[in-house]
Amino acid sequence: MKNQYDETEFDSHLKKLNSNFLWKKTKKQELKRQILTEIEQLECHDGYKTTHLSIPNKRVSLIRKLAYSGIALAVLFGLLIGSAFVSPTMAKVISNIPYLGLIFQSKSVDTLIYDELQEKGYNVRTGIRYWPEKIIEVSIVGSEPYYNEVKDDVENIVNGILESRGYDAYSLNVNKYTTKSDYVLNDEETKEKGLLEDEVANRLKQSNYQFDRIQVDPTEKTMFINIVGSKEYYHSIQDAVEKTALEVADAHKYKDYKVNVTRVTVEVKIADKRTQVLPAIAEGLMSKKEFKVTGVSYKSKPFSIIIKTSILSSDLTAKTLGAKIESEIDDFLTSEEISSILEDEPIEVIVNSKDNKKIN
Amino acid sequence: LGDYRKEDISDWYDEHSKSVLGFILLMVNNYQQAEDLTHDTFVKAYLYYDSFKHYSSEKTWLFSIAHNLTVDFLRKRKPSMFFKEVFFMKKDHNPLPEEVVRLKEDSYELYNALGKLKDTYRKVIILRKIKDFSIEETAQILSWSESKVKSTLHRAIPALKKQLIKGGYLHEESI
Repeated sequence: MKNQYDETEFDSHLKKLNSNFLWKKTKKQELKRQILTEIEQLECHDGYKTTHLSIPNKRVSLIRKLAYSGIALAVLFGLLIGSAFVSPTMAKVISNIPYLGLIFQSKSVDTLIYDELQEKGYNVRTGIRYWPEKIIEVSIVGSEPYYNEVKDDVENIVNGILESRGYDAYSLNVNKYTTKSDYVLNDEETKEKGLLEDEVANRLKQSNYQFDRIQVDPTEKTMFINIVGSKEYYHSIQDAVEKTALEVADAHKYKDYKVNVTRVTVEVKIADKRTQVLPAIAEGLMSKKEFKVTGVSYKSKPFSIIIKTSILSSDLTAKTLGAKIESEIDDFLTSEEISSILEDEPIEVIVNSKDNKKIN
Repeated sequence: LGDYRKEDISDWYDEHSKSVLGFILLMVNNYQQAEDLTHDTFVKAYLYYDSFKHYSSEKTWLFSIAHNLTVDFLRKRKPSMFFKEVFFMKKDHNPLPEEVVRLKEDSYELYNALGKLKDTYRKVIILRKIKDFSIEETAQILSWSESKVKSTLHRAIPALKKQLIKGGYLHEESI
């Protein structure tokens, strides 16, 4: 009961705040006059609904101003970069980043396509092929009806990306993804494979031949044996190894086996940092019809970039094209970003015609 | 054409302006701002007279205008207040100008304690307990659901008591 009493006491205490609050009558009348005058002014005014109220802090605060200008700056910057993507010429004019430099800074076109489609919820595999034709292949994972439903959308998206980069050299191939599962050996074949691999290995060891791998493919009826050692050693034992392997197959009545004796050495090379620039050069030159580029390769000593084109050396414009490609690459290599990577190591650029003549 | 409007506003002002001013004053703790916002409340009521649908009393409607204006004001004031507090290392106290507005002494502690509560607590206490609006009316003014009004008030009252104890105005035994 006490509690309830206290509650009501507290409540009445609060209520008293209302009546305890005194406002000078003259002030009240003064404010009323102000309001009525303002209303009268509004009446004379036609579009009175747009009139601003007198709230003093209608002014935009400094923080807001800063925020707005920040956003505006970000948008401007975005437009700048955006327009640079749309037009490489624009890029040159506004920021001095060469065409190939822009490609160097961004994702490769197939990754871009993959990421964009994935982000939009399409499950796809993407690939790019330069030979015999320049093709961008997008395989849609899913059922036939799904494929039919989204095919056009996917095509539009990819074409949009290619267009935004100014890539016109590719034909687009959108297809339905089919799983190519590996052939699984049956029990008999597994047995055949295991038996032959063990037996051949034993026999070769007995004869003291140096090898590192034996692989038997019972479906192709082939045995792959890799020899370890010098070329001379390989040549000296090659036939004997083949003969030994065939004897084993014969002994187990496995007919028609072929033997493939190889000497493959895998050398691990540390990638030259100069090769970093190649993907951008390749993508940039291959993706536009105007460059007529069919291949990009390099030699490490001395480091040279070799560009193969589809133009004949007898063509009158061959030299111009050669010069154009070379200057495009030079602009890129001498840009600030790239020259810091290359550390001033000289790079030779060779542009070849279809008939393999230097045209630059 | 606008005469009946003006008359209505004039009548409403006579009847409710003090209450509206009191509400805003408790919200913003600054007399001059409260007066400006009261001015704007009645001007706005005139401008949007046509949208007053008589679903609620004109008092509730005026209070919801006042509430919206106050919330806008507080929202915009916040950053500058923050800097003021940081740079001067203290809250800004605006004593009431005695010549125009006065509070009887036995309500001073409440006024101060309310000023220290967070906005949502403060306004729900003012509307429900001081201005005596019903739950439904309070919900209309704040654009809250009725259950939000109830639950916020439920939490606001103990917070206010705690604040009063902190200030030494209320003894723990009396809760």
